[in-house]
Amino acid sequence: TQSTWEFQFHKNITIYLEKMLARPQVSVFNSANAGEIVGQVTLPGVFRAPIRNDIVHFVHVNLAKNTRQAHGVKTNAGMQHAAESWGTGRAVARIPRVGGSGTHRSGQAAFGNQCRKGRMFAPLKTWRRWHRKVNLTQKRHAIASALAASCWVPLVVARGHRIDDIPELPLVLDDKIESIEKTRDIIALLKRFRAYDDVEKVARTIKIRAGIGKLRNRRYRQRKGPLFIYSNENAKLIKACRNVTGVQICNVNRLNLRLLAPGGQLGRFCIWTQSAFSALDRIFGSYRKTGQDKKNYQIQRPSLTNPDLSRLITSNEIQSVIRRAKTPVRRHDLQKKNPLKNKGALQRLNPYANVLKELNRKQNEQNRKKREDAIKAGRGASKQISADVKKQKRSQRKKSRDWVRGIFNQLDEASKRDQERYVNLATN
Amino acid sequence: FFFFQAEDGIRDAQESRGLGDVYKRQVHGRVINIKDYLMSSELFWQLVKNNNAFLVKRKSGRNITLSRDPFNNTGFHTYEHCGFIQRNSVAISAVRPKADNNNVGFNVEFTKRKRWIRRTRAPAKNAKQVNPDFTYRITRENLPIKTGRIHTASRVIRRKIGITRPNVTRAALRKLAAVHRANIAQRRTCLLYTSDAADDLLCVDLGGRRIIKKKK
Repeated sequence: TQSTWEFQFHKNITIYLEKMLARPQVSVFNSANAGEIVGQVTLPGVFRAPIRNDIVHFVHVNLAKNTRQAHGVKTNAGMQHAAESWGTGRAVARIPRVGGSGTHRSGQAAFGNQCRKGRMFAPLKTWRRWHRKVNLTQKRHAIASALAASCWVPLVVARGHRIDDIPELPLVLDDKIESIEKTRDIIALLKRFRAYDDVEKVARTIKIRAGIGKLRNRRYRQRKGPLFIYSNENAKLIKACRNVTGVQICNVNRLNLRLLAPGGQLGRFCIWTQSAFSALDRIFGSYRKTGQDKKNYQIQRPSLTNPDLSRLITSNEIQSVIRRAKTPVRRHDLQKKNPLKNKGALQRLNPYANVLKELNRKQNEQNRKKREDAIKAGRGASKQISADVKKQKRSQRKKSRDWVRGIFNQLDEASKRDQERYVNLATN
Repeated sequence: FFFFQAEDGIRDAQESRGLGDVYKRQVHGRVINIKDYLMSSELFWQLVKNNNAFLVKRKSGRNITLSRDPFNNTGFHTYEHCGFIQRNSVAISAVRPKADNNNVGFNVEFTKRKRWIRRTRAPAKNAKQVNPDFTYRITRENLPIKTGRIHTASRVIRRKIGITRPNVTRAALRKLAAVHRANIAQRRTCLLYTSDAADDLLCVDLGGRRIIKKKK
């Protein structure tokens, strides 16, 4: 027996697969009256094919090569000389030189791709492999992807089509449009279904091509408008649509990737006839059965049944199993900070540093204050000395002065005696 | 007046088609519209991020990609702000303000996928008959908002996508405010577009010799 969550998971996968297979109903509109729905068709299985833009790109790139025309340079271009190298010893490069005389050309270099008037490197040949064979299944997958993409509004809008006001996507009209003969009727139809904006866009943006292609019968460049897809071979629709700028038509039995994904870009705006739309099941088949017209073609299976990543990630099945997200661990600072200069770094190493600093600061404050007070107190000190202290100080000063004077007197007398003695000695 | 186009989004698949609940499954107790599982905005992003009609292709020194998507309120081409592929996004666009009261100068549109939506009221009798199960549709809810109802617009935006997409709401509100501010400035400077005493006069003096006679 499976555990509870496994069963839940299995059930949800089944649901998703069923959803994948499930195909909603698409309305068929009355071509005469855009508001009226005349029928419903189940969405063909092709529209649930995985959108493989990588395959589409590959197939488009290679199929685009198939319309190329061969070109090449003239076979003897640059070689129509009897040029020979002069060899060594003549103070010139060893490149073949044109022989003869009497003209500037003689003695000039020839043949090399580096030479003036020489042949090019690797002259282009017409037998280059211009065309590419693309595997049939790949081509079919590409068409299926392109069809699938054409039913999603964001992709069609991303391609640049103006489909803001169309009633529905995919847009399916009843088969009456296949018998529309007149261009004006087609235009009226497009206007009725608000698809004419797309046509106007094309007409408005026709530009002369930049580059030399304009001289080679590719003078104008224009956008792509809506693509009508019909199924009956004798549809008059073809002629009606031919002259409308930007509008193209395609038979459902001959779907062309270059029409469905022009430029390799998915999401062409397609307008279907009902029979064409219904025919897709017969042509491509679905997930349950292979196609009939495309014999044994099986639509690809997507690698993810549920492409909604955000839903997957937030779903119970996954959230209940995954571990908690790790908080990123930073083992060391991205840049070393010097704790002697950086206060924060010091604090981290020595949490007491700040405390100490604070204490010191307070102490300094106190000391400073004390000193200031003392100085202030000492400034008027002499005025506050009492009288007998003064007297005492005066008498003390007098005593010391007298003592010093006495010493000097003694010294004076001694020097006087000495003087007399010398005088006596001198006279005797 | 202020209205929602109710019939576009609020529709029950089963009720309108009568097919029973073949196409409905109860997962986690909620009814889910099936096709929402078949395509996700992540998948659209992969298809659209490198090339789409709104991409601004400009070689600039800065390594940023810009987008002209109307549902992108920041202009940066990123998954989060690429509105036209998202389920819930809003487009704020400037509309030329007129003296007419019904046109306030901005337009608010929502993309809306019909997820988690149940029918709350019966559709109007003359409502356009639209198949609710069609593959995908951008439902444009245009809100014609009266002058001075910028708070209404911001309230609506916040209610619709404020919880699920806060960054987008923020960008949208920012843009709404900017558009509103610009419109006010324009109204003030532009004589013709103010509905003040000048409108009541027979003619408007544009300065110089040009005088436009107002049609009555």
